Amino acid sequence: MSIASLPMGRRAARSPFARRSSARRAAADRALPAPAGTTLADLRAGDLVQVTAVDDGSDPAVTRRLLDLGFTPGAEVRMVRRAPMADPVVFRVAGYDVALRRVQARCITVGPAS
Amino acid sequence: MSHAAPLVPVHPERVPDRPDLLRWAVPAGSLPFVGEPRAVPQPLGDLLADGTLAGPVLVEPTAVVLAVGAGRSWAAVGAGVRGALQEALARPGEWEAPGDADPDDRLRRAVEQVVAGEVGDYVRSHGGRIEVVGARDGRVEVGMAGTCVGCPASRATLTGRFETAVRALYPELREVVRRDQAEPDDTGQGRRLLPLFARDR
Amino acid sequence: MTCGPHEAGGSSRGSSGVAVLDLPRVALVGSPNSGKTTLFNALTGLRAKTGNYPGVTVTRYEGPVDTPAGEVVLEDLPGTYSLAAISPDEQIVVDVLDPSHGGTQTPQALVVTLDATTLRRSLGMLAQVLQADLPVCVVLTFTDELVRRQGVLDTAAFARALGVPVVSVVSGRRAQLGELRELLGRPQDWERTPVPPPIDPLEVPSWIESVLRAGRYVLPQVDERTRRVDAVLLHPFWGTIVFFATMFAFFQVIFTVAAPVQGWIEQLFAFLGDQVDAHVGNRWLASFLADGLLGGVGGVVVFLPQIALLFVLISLMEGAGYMARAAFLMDRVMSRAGLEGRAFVALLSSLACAIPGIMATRTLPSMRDRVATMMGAPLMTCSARLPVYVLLIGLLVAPGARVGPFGAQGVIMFVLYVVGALSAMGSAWLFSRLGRRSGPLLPFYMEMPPYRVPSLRSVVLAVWDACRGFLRKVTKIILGTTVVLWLLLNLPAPSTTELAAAGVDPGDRTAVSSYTIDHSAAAAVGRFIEPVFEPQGFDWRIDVGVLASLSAREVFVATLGQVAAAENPDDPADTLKQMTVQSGPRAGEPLFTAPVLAALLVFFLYALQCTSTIGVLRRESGSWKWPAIAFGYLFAVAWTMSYLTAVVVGAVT
Repeated sequence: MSIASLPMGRRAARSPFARRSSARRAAADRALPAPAGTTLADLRAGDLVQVTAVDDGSDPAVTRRLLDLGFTPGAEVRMVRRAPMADPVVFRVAGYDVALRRVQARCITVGPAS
Repeated sequence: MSHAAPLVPVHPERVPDRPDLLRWAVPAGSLPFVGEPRAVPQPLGDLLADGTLAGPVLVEPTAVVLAVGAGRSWAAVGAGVRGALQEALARPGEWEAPGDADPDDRLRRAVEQVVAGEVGDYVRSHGGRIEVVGARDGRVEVGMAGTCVGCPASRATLTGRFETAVRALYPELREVVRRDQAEPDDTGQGRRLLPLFARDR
Repeated sequence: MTCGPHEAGGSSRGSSGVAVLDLPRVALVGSPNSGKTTLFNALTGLRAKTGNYPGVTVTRYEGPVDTPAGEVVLEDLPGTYSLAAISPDEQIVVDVLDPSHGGTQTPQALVVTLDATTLRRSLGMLAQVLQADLPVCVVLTFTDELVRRQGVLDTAAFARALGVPVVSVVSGRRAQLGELRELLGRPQDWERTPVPPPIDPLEVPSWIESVLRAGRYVLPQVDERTRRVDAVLLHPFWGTIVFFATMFAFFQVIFTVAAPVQGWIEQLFAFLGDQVDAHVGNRWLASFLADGLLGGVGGVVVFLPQIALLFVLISLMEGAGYMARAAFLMDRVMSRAGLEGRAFVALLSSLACAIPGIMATRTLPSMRDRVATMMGAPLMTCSARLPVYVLLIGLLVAPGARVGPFGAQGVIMFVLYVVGALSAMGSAWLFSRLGRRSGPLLPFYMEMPPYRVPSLRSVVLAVWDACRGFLRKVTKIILGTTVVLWLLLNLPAPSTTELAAAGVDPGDRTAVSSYTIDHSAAAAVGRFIEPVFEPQGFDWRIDVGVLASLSAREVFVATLGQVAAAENPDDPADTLKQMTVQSGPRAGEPLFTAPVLAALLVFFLYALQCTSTIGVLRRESGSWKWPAIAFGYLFAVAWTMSYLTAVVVGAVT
């Protein structure tokens, strides 16, 4: 069973964010609001979102590094895949793939992609 | 760390032979006019007032040309100017167009820039010519002369390169229309053999 | 046209013609995976030198580059994603770029490598570098990949937007370097950016966006090839299978492919030893040369095939991009021990030998992780322990003994491996926790680069560099220790009169060496420290073996062999079984009882008996502190655990 054959509607209902096929964006999905406080750690494979805020409460060095890695407010991020035991997670941002642990991904708040 | 509105993307480029000027690239369509504005938003106005910037401020389709004040250097004031410019561009309503402004000035200037620039160079290098006949209301009429007449690639050049280049400077472009200007004694063969001798009408 | 100010301390050459110290210096800056080191190797090749930055264990690479205007020294700075440094490597880059930092030399110009396929992120790094008041030149790498993946960049417009020279280079094409070499010759002529980019990381994206628009940048499509391969290699089920198969092959290659080469080296040294024996008249000198010097050097050189092979495999995996995938898959498991995914490869290589494993910790960006992994690596069951295990297990259980369906000997060996691995993880966890206060908690992130064909030149140079460094530093230590041990085992040399008085025939070499060992300084030491290991039931002969094996574990077998052969040259193995305790409460009883053997096994499992490892720990961690700590705490643990084992096994049997 290929991914394409999964009913898009059901998957969209599970995830708060616009799910994109490589071809085009579903206008209906764009209208879905994002629950407050959603972070990169909450995404599912294929989700496309936009960064709204980056904050590691305890360590400004981590925040700065995440910004330097491309997770700036307004940047588009796509969740690519998880490791077999759910951690770490690969994201596509700024044109490249980067793996983050969930504890770091939790610092990055996101909203629907514009 | 988050902020409300994204900053307007700008960056400075040097102007040949004028070290006091910098052409600050701005997104196409940031301002609805070209030329020297009658008034600018306060952030820029303040810099003009205190001598950081010297007038005039010149607006192009995708750039704002600024001059640094006497006795100042761009290296020192550049960061502040950038911030002020971004602020100013975020308030397009506070700019006042030049007095004799025509709403189509921007389009006309964009087309002139394209003809004078890379696309024009490309056409001229093949012995052709593009001339602007009219630019109004998002619609541009051009004439192609020289080797362009009868050239099978001329339509592709027009729609492909020319239109793309103009649209990059003027996003609201609706269409580009061609009006051929045939030379009276022209034969297709002669054109190809004597590209350098295309005569003016 | 702008002309940057001529930098102070530039390329002036003294009137006397002595110019070496004044060669212009250019530094290479860029993020990891941006093709920076490949470029460095292409420009400097074998002429690069390695060294260390003062005070830290970050390796320093610099080499001469020929330009039309003369020679220039190019320094390859550690790869970094940002000048907001969070590790010692990155701090080096900041220090070198800082003219007021006394410990490092600031270059006259900078070359920044930007991966053309990841410009939106890499321009952030350029924005920071442009803050330095130095001429900058940009080298765009992987432009061929950009085009292949339908990306677009107008290089000329891009250069105008940046205000600095931009050169496009495809790795492996030496012809294109001409333009770059020409630029490197005249950094003072490079165009400088009129206004530095914004500093605030929240303002930089708008600058990046503007520059990319000017360059008409089209982001390349996701690399289809990589996506398809990753669909398998990172698949929860298949990916894990492939991963373990790869790791198994990795480990097997190091073991089995290196073994024959190691055999040849051992043969070579044995041959040399025989030559010495045959041609050097003075027996004392011959023994010193053969056993001491040759043994020492041979003991070091024998590691080379493993190290070379390990680094070839690691370089290939790293260059192709699979290393990141392996670390990604193992990160969760490693994080339980307070480590990260990349530590897995280092620990795995330690199964062959802790030395290349410890050297492999260089791939870990965090110093804390590096130290923790280095502390754990010696506990992985290395190949040197095998001869000892085989000998002792052979004494402990008969070959045919079985535990259920499995051979008892195999089971014990497996248990030893598992205990070793768990102890390694535990030790790493412990040191990671202890190091919590000493360093910042480095956030884990890892770029997953597209799969690329690794540059052969870079692989060769990496291996060459690793082997050279190993030989240079470690030889001093191994050689020194082996010589000292030799001296202890062979002095005082008994005179003929002494031998006659003891009833030993001076012509009988075995008897003489047996007598020598019995009365050597080492034996004196052995008897002296007998109380230390008395609870475990070791006697002075075992103690001498343990002492001797401090240089290398296999020496234990050799020493026991020497002692046994001295008593009975025909059947040393049998002799060992028959050996009896010489004095004390157990006199007359067999020496190698089950508790003694078990205690010995456990002792060898934990103790750090390898001066080579100590030498490498010193080199890779930068001071004697960590090897001393490792040796000390491992000895304590080994002693305690072997005592407990002796007690438990004694109670059970």
